[in-house]
Amino acid sequence: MREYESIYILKPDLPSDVLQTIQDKITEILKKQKGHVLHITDWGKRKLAYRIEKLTHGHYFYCLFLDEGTSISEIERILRNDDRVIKFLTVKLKDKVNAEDRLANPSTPPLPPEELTHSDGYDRYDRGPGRGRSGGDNFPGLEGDDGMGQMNS
Amino acid sequence: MIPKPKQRKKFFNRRKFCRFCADKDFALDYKSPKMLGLFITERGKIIPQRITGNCALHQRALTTAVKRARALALIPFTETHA
Repeated sequence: MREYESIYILKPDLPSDVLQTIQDKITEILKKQKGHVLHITDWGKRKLAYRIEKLTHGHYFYCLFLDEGTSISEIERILRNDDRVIKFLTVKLKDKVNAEDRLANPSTPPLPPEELTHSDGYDRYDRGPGRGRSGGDNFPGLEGDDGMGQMNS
Repeated sequence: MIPKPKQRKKFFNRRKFCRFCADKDFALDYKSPKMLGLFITERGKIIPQRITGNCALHQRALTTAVKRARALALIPFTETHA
């Protein structure tokens, strides 16, 4: 068994029964292929970092599951063909997981990540001409020189 | 040109270190845009390891993490297209 996680983004403002149907579909596919859903978490409506299909917000879902790898293509096919899904990504986390052990020790679902805002210390490396490379103090979070030290000394 | 008297050395060397190696709790995860925000510029570019001091292993891992986060619209590809 392998452990996978899937994140899919739905259009905002969908009725809750639609959200449920999509969850059920995934669970059903996994059951057929002898996979197991560990948890599906609703991250709620979040602001997208860029517009997708002219939408500024999306409804994020996080799904952690065990599978042999056989149902991934089927799950992704369903997500791709459903036009209420605007984005999805599946990542393999672990190979060779013992299903019984893993189901006996369920992990707590991760909290939805905080959104990135401009005050969060984006660095000012490429602000434009006149800044950037010449100023070694442009990196608030990173102390030290800018890697160009030897050339000027 | 008259050389400026007492010009101080502009740069000094401080050993940079890989933050992921130094702090095991500082987890690299594509799902946390806040953490990735420390390693991307205002324009959304990945900061080179020359600047951040990341080791090669973690810089590679960071690159994939940033790319995954971009795909999920957690962090921007660039600022201008918003």
